[in-house]
Amino acid sequence: MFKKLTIFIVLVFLASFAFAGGGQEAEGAASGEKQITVGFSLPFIEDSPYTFPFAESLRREAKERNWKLIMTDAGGDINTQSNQIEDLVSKGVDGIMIMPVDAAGIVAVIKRVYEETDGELPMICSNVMPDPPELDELIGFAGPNSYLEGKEMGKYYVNYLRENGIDKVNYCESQGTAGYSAAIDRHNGFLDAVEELGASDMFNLLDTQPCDWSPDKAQAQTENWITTYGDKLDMIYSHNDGMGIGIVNALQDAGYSPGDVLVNGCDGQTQAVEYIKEGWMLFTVFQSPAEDAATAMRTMEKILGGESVPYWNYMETPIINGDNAEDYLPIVTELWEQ
Amino acid sequence: MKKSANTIKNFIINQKLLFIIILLIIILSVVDRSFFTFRSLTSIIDHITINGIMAAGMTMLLISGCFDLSVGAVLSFTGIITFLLQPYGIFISVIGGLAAGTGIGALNGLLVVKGKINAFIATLGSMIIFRGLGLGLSDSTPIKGRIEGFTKLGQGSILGIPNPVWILIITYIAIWYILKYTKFGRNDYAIGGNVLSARLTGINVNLNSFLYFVVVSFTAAIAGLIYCSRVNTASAVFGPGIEMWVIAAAVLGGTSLFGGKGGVIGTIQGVIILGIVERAMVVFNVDTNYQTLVRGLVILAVVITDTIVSRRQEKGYMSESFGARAKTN
Repeated sequence: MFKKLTIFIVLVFLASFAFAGGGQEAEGAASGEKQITVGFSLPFIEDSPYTFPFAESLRREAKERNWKLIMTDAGGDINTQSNQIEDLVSKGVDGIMIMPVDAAGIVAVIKRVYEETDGELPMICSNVMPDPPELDELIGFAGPNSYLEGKEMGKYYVNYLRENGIDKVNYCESQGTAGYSAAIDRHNGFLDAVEELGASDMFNLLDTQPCDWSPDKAQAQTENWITTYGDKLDMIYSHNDGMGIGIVNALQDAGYSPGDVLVNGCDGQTQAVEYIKEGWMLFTVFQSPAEDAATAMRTMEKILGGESVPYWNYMETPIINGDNAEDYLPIVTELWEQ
Repeated sequence: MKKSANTIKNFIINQKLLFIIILLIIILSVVDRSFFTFRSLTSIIDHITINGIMAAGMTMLLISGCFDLSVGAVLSFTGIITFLLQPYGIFISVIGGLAAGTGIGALNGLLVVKGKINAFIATLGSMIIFRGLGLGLSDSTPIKGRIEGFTKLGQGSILGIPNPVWILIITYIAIWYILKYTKFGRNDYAIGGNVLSARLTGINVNLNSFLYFVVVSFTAAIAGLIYCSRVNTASAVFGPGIEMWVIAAAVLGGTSLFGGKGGVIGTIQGVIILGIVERAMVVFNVDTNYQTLVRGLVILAVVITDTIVSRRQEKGYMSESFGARAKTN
C-alpha cells in the first residue's frame, strides 16, 4: 500500500515538473520577448510613513516600464533580508535593488550574490548606503545624499542668522537613530557647512541626543530641553520632519509662539510644510519617497539598457521654506496621503 | 478495500507534515519553474538553519510544558558580547558570547523554577532586559566584526555543505538522541505530561526543568553566533519576533504548547514548512503589504490548531504542567 502511494506521489511530482516546464515556454513564445523582472528588497513596510509611498512609487514605475516587480519585506531583520535577496536570485531576476536593514550587515550577502552570479547580476543600493559605502560588488547607489542635505541645512541656518543680524545661537540637536548613516551624514554635513562658511563661532551646542526619527521621542526630549535651558534655547536642529513635528508640539504645549525657537525638518511631510506656513518651522528639505524610488528605477533602467552609470546617483532634494511652502503644500499632501 | 483505505488514511495522518512539504514543493514548482532547481531547494535549507537550531532547543522546553520568549534577545545578546570581546581573540569572544547567552537561560530557569514566576512573564521580562542591555552595551549602534576567521562559521562550508547546516544536523541528532534514549529526555515528557506524577516517581523536577531552559538558551546562543557570523555584524535589534516563528515551527511539528508530547523530527519538518512559506511569498510575489499578515496567519493557525487538538485530548487527565499552572495564575 505504501509503495503504491509513493509511486503515485513520485509520478505526480514528475508530471508537474513537465507541466511547469511547458508552461513557461509557452508564455515566452507568445509574447516574443522576455519581460524584465526586477527585485526590490525593502527593510520593512509597517509603521513607516516613508516606505509606504516609496513602495507605491516603485509599483507605478514598474508598471510604466512594463516590468515585473517583486518586492520583499524583511520585517526589520537583516538575516531575513539576506535570505530574501538570495530568494530573488534563485527566482531569477534581471536586477536587484536593496534598501538595507543594516548598512554593515548587508555587505556579506552582496558579496555572496556577486560571487555566485559571477558579477552578472546588477545590484544597487537605494536610500541607505552600505558600510563601507563604495563596494566593488555594487554597481552603485541611488537615493538622497544625506550629507549634502545636512550641508544645505547648515547653510540655510547660517544665511538666515546673518541676514537677520543674529550673532550667536544656543542650539540643541535632535538626531536620527544612532549609527544610521543618514543621521551621521546630516550631523556631519551641518557642522562642515557651518565651518566652511566661517560661522563656527555663531553656534553654541547645548546638547545633542538621538531621538530615533520619532516624533514622540523628540517631543519628550524637547520638553527636557525646555525645562533645562529655558530661554537660553534659541534653536533646535532636527534631522527629519518626524522629530521636527514632535519638537514643535512640545514648543506649542509649553506656550511658545512661532519663531521663538528656530526649528527645521527634513523629508517634506505635509504637517511640516504646514508648520512652515504658520512660522513654527523655518524650513525643511523635500526628500520625496516617490522621487527616491523613481531614481532607483531610472538607474536600474539605465544599467539594464547597457548604459554606464556613475556610482553615485543622487536625487533632487530642494528646500521648502516660507517662500515656497504654499506651492509645495498640494504636492506633499497628495504624496504622503497615499 | 476498507482495510487498505484505512491504512492509507493512517499513513497520511501520521506523515501529514511530510505530505504537506511534498505538496508545497509540487505547487510551487508548478507556479514557478525556477523553484525546482538544486540551488533553490538547497537554499531553503541554508535559510532555516538559525531558526531551526533554536526550534530544536525550544522543542525540549515545550515538551516540559514551558516556553521561552527571550530566545531572540539571547540571539542578539550573544552576538553583542561576542563582538565586544573581539579584542581578546576569537576563542575568548566565542566562549564569552556563548556563556552570556546560555546564562540568560540559567536566569530564566531560576526565575521560573525557584522564583515560581510563570514562564511567559519571566521570559518576557528577560527578553526586554537583555534587548535593553544589548542596546546599552552597544550604544544602540551595530558592532562590526573584526575577527578574520569568525565569518567562516556562518559563511563557510565543509564538503560543500554550509557550516550552519552541519550544526543544524548535529543539533537535531543530539537532541533527538537525548529525548529518545536518555533519562534526561524521558523526564522531559514525564514532567510535561503531569508534574505531580513526575515528582512522585522520583524525578527532580526542579533541576530538570531548570536545565531545559539552559538548553533552549544554549541553542539560541549558537544561533546567535551563526547569525552574526553571516552578516559579520552584531546588533541589539537582530531577530525581531523570531521567538514566535520558532515556537510556531515546533508546534506545527507536533510539539504541544501544553507539554507532554512532541519531538524534533516533527519540529524539523515544521521548520522546513515555515521556511517554504517564506520562499513562497517571493515565488508568488505576495504584496509586501500582506507579507507580515501571511506570517502572522500561519503562526496563528498553527497555534489555534494545537489548542483545539490539545483540548480534545486533555479531557480525562489532570494536566498539571508548568504551562498549565501558568495559565491559571
